[in-house]
Amino acid sequence: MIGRPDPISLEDLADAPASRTDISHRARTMLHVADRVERLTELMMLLLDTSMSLTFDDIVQRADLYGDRSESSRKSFERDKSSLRSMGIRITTEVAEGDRGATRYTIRPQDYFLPDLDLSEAERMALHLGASMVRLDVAWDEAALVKLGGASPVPLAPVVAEMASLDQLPVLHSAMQARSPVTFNYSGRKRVVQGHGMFYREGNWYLSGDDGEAVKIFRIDRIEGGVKPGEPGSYEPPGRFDAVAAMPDDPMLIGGGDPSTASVLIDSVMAGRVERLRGGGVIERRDDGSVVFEIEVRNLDAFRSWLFGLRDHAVVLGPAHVVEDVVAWLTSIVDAGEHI
Amino acid sequence: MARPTAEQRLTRLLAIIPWVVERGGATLYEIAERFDIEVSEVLKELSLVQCCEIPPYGPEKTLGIAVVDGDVLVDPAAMLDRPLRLGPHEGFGLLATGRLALAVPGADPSGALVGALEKLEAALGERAPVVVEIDRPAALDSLQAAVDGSERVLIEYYAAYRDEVAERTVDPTALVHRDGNWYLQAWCHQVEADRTFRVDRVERVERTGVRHERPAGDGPDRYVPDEDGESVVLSLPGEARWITETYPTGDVAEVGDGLEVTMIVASSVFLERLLLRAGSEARVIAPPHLTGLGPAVAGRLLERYG
Repeated sequence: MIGRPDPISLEDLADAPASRTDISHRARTMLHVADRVERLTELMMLLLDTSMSLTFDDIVQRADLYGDRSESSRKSFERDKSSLRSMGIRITTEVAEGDRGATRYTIRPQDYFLPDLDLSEAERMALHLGASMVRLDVAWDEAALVKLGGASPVPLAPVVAEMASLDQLPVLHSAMQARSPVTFNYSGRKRVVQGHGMFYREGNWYLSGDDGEAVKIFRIDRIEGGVKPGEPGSYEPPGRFDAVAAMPDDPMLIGGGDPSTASVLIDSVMAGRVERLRGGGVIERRDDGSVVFEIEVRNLDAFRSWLFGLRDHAVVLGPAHVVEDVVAWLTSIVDAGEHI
Repeated sequence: MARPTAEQRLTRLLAIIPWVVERGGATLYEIAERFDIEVSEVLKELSLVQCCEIPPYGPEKTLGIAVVDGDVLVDPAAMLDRPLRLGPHEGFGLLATGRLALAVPGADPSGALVGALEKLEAALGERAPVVVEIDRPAALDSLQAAVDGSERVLIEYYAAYRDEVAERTVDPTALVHRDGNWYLQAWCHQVEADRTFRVDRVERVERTGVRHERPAGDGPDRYVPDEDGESVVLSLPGEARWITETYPTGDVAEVGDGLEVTMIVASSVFLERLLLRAGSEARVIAPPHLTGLGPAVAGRLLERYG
């Protein structure tokens, strides 16, 4: 085990390599900031430290990051700002009177630092354990766990679950937090959606939101291309989000069709399995082991899909319009075969 | 491996510095191990930023970090003593994995993870609900106990591709939730090989009291179509595109308003279900002996409706 040094102050670091504090300011201006990471770090420190926001001219005057006010220096500054923003660092800008239209920049501490989460050691360990049990395909959670500190990175539990990760997920989530409507293409149409909630069910991520026509469900992996957030604070979602109310977990109940109660006879081979998976609904048990189920149906497509999954083990007894729908579907397949 | 970009290097440094500050210092080796990078790389990066300072240039205007004889020393009053706030990807990643972990067997619904997620949501200013739902098939808890206890079990399993229920004696080695289903990885004594079973198709679990010595599994591999299966070419209407999103497929070609899809099928039972669901515009193009399968199964089922 390697020992850990005691915390000390910089004044104690007599043997530490010389910092540029030892170099005269005149000499500093001659120094070439050779590594871009060094320049980015100092720009970030400068914007974070200042009690007043700074213009580009202020930055050039105060620090030796960009040399002069030339066009190429300005381009380097713009590129550096863009890099910091791409890392999630929020740079606040303002155009104040008296600056001849110059933009002022600052990084507010509350925008930079992780707030104190006040996690107990047990809670921090639980987050590590949870993240080690679930594989999200990407390293989002690992980077976050490093920031939360504490526990070691060694997996504490075998992976027991995998979750699909999609580029759109964090963008949609951030937009919902900011109450920004999101624009994306779905089923060949452009949609502008006010998000209400996101949920993960049967291996897929869904967004529930209002697209101006109605509250709809969008399967996120079917969003075509990227997601563009709009103006923050543009809407308030209605009440508490309920995923089951947004989309019933039984596909046969999804949709605006008139409700029907279908009677379905399941043979003895599959009766037990259907009863277990549906959690009930038995209205008749026959001597041969077959069972009649009563099933609420609002979506005939989903009902047919479920029924045909059972093939010869199931037959619909009623009502008449559901039987007719199934017979018509099967007949159309038989008829199509005659034209092959 | 590609050289990291300046942004990637700075992101890494902004994670390393608060981590070292929190510990009150660390060795180069500890940092290298924690962040999975070479010691020489750690030394190079920290040597670079220990020189970073801003006007009016004094110790309090530095990152307060120094590398001395392999030890990384920190000033408790360092400028970046706390980590950068969680980015959208990180916050979402922690919430999603935490919520999923809460839904797996054995999770304590009133335990530390719940408290941690509540605090995380509060800190993130959480106003965007993320709900994670996982089914818990009836056999899940019994199989989890069998995995934990390395106990051989007898299972009654519905093999959907053969449409039959059979008994298997298995040595369970792992349970994994993937793509919306729970899967059991186990050594099957009937076929004398590792097999994967979908837990919602396990009809019954019977304990044997016999312990097995097989090592814990890594979790079943993703489903790969059996090479011994038959290659089938399907013509599908556009509305049946869901088939390509649900099942492993080979070539997929857009033909007019529809698709031409090649897939390996392990049994005609699977193909019958697919054709019934896809409707009258779906048909098998090849092989020739399966071109009439859809109409045949539809005709067979129609007989039930007299």
